[in-house]
Amino acid sequence: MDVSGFTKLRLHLASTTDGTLTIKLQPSPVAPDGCVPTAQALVNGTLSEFVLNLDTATFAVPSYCAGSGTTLQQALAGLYTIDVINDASAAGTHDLVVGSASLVP
Amino acid sequence: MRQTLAALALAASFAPAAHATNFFDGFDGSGGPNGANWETANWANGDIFGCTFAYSEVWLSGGNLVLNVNSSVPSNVKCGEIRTWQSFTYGKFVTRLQPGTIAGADTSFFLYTGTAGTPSHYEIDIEFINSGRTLHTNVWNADVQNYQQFAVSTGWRTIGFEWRSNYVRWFSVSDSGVETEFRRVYTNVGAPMRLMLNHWVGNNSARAKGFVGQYYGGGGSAYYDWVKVSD
Repeated sequence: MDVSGFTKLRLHLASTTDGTLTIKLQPSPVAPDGCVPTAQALVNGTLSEFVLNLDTATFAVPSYCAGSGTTLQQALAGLYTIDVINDASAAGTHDLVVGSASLVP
Repeated sequence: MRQTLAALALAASFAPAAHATNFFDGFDGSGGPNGANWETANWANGDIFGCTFAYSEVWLSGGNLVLNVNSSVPSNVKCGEIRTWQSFTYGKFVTRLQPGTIAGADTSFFLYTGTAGTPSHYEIDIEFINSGRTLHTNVWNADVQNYQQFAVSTGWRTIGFEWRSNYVRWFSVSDSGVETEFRRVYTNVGAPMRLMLNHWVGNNSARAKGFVGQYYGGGGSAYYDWVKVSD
């Protein structure tokens, strides 16, 4: 779906185990290497509202992609899904909670 | 030679501390912040700032430091800034604060020295922009920046950074006191820096809008419960 006319993404997020969640704007087909516009949110155990600007300062393609991958403009022109990821880099139990998600003009 | 050594020893004993010396301010009381600890700005920075720092917008209330943006005269918006007299080299810098939520504003907690645009410029930043919904972390090393932004919820939070000889890391602190690191940059910043807190709005220049966003007018406050520096 083309969501180029929207300027913000509003999400409700939480994690009782981790402090950072990753948000990826995925085109179709989904990019398995993760080289798509990516943002991070600082979360805690309380479900809270986050409002992310749909700009390149907030959504950057990860540095390991070395300049390749889906641009923000491309992702917004053909948004297929929004991934919310707990990178869970440490051993043990990990969780994440996603409440509502909406796009804001 | 004996006199020279004595003079050097005297100079050393009066030199400003260039290390973290377990500095703490709980911002209790009334009136202005402790003048022995803090210099309060009363000047205009120029572009990209859309307000003038003023004594009138800095005060203590309810156990907090208040840094206010006052837009009662839209053509002369006033805002607040303080900075330690003391410079620091390395340490852990933590604050409990409630950033302001004005669009196009910036609530900050950062270390700074030098002149921006020159190699003398060093900085380690925590800044809340986008109506307090985006955390901008940054380290400037000889005027070269390395930043990353995070989405955050509004409201009170405890947050800080640790600066060592070969890295800077940023962390949040839960209500139960558990520290969670969310960013680390390996860098060699060694210049002594003053700790600064401010709350200001941009001037809607292209550079200001590109950083803090569009300012549509209006005022409001940022609150700091305490500031702590330790080795």
